[in-house]
Amino acid sequence: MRILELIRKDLSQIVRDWKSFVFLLAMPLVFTLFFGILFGSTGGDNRLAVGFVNLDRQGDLSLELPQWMEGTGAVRLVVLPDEASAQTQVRDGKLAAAIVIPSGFSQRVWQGENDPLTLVGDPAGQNGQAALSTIQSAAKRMLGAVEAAHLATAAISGRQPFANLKEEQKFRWERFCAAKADWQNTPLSVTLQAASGNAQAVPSGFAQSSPGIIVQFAIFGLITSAMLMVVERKTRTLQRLLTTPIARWQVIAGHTLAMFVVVFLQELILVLLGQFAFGVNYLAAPGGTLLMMVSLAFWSAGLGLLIGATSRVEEQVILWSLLAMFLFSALGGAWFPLEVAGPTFAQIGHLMPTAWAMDGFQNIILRGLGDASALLPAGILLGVGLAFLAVAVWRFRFE
Amino acid sequence: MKLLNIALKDLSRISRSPFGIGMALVVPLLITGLIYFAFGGISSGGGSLAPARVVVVNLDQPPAGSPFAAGPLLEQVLVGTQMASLMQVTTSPSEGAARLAVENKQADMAVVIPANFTQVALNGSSKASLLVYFDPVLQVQPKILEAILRDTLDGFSGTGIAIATLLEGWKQLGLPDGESQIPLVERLYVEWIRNSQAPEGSAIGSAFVLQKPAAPQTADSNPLLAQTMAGMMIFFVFYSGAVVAMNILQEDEQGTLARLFSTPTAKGQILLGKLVSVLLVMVIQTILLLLLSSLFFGIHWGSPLSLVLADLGTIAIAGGLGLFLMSLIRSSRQSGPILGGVLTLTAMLGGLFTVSLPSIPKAFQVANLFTPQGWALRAWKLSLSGASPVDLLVPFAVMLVSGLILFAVGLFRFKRRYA
Repeated sequence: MRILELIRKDLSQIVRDWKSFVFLLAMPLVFTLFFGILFGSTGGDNRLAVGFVNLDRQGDLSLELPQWMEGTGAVRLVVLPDEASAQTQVRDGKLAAAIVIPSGFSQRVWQGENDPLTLVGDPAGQNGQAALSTIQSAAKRMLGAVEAAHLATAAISGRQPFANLKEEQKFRWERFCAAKADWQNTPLSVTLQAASGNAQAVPSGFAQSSPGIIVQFAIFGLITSAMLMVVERKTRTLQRLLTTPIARWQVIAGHTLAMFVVVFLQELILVLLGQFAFGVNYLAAPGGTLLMMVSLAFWSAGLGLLIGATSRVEEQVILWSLLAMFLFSALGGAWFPLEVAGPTFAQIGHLMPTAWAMDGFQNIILRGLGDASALLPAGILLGVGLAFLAVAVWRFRFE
Repeated sequence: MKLLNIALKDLSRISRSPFGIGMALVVPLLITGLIYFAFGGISSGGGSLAPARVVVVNLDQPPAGSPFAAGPLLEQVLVGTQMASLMQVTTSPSEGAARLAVENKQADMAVVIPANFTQVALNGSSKASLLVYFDPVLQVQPKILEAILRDTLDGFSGTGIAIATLLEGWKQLGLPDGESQIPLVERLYVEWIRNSQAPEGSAIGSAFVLQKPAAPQTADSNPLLAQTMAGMMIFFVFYSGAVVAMNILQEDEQGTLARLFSTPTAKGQILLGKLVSVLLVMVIQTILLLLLSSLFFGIHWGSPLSLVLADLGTIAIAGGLGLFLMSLIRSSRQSGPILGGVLTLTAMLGGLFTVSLPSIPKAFQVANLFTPQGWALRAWKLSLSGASPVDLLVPFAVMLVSGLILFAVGLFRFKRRYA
């Protein structure tokens, strides 16, 4: 009963402070929306911008190539006057890559010579790599059609020579057009299928940003709760509490549970908004989602108690909370999927409790796994939370 | 002299605060360090993504007696040493087992080669599709695998297309026995593919020449890292500007400001002294961050004059905004939402948190310039790209003028409050 009174007191202090609304709700909401829209498919033009410099202005193949490239549906061509502007725009990140067709390219290719196309881009970057790969693929298809036309013309010419060069060129162009038509309808293709029915329903941006922000702000929200403990220690309220019949463990338990309730309520609001406003399917496994929320709130409360127990002044609470938020969020994949980070970072990241929290939520919202998929991540969060609590209780000082 | 004494007193108080130092120096360097740790190697070309675990299921049944078998060939391509850095490939006899491995997170992706794969590759009369079954959490690796598979399939499709092109032409001219030419065309086309393929260790085939983007003056800096550091520096310089300006409110609440006003020093001079301390803190902070980031991350910030313009502009607008924001609130208790809310929101709109993302929507890039942080970011990006000081004049002028206006309004409001 005394613990409940203490929880109620802490909660009323937090609720009465309008700053709590900003930190606990307004900011995570704005962040979820912002990153969800930014990273997700917003229905806009998602094609990569690719520069196109044609120095072979009269060439038939140089006029053909843009069709082959845009036919991939992956790139949007931006016509540029020269190679220098292509270099500058790729360097400045305005274009993912660029292609430069050298002067006399078509003529040389029809003569069977290899006249390399210049690609401008950085294959080490994600967009650069994707754009270069798409350009190469389209250009190789077109050059393949030229080669097919060459081979057909040569084979026929060996059996029945053409009347004149014009006839031969006409036949070769027709064969090129026939090969082009075949390339537009290739018999072999690749189909991508996500290993979950849910994946089609969840906008990719929110599938990352919604659980990511829940995890991040579960730590950030500790600033308000852990601060209460430091203020009570500074104002000697904790000492005065000891003169009452309340036991030491009840004081610690009261503060811890108050933090748990704050984080849990914050999670609840963000999960409900994720479900109904952003289409993130947390309710696909309601039991699993609830388990993840409880375990994340418990882990967060353990961390909050540790910060409150080890900080002497308010500023330390802010600093430790922010450092914990940056480290756990970034390493645990709350800011960006660990898949896109380097191997060492990803390996270390997977050891973080926050990575398990992300895994648990994404098992439900993306992988479409059931309630049971939350058991392991929740168990790990509870275990680490318990360890934090043990250290915090050991380090807790009432004065 | 009194003005300077007041500024130095404030400065010494701030320098003794571990929190102030943490927020001004440690946190921006820490975040940049984390980004460097995550993406540094990748963006500079020195590293790669973690290899994906791929299960290949080959259900291909080549026609009896056919010397060509596309399924095993594709399997070889995927298992080949060239792909080792991208994926760890294992094989499975059954599609169900491979799907289960992905669903149980024992594999990241499964590639299922259909039974009619060789048949379609040979005659092209029907359709066949490779299935890539992937963990939906993955966003990049399935696309990489898809590109590799498409490239290989193009090799198979191209041979079929070359043969079809020949046969149609042969038929069109009414020539008999076109099939006799197939082996020759097939051999020559495969030879052409082989010659145009990228040599081992290269991403570019012989039909292409790759040029990396023109090197700016800061070529030896990692651009991702440098821009992230610029974003973090701007965010925390704006934060410092507001925090130091908050000292005026704290001193007012503690009563020390009233005591200072009772001395013979003019009120305007006292307030100006405090404002000078705001500027001094930001100057010291940016100098230290520029030096430390050069030392730790090897960032080259551009030509000295460009750098000075970007720095002075940032300080002017950050100081002006900090003073203006603090003049709007009544007590230091209200400062949290201003620091946390307003500065974070404007930083977000200014593009500071998304500075290293490659495809930012155009509308968002325009929205950047409606915030002070957006202009600061533009200036630092220009400096980092090796732009001349002339190129920085516009962002510098915008920041200086806006900063002075905000500064004047803030000062006016404070003076009126303490009149």
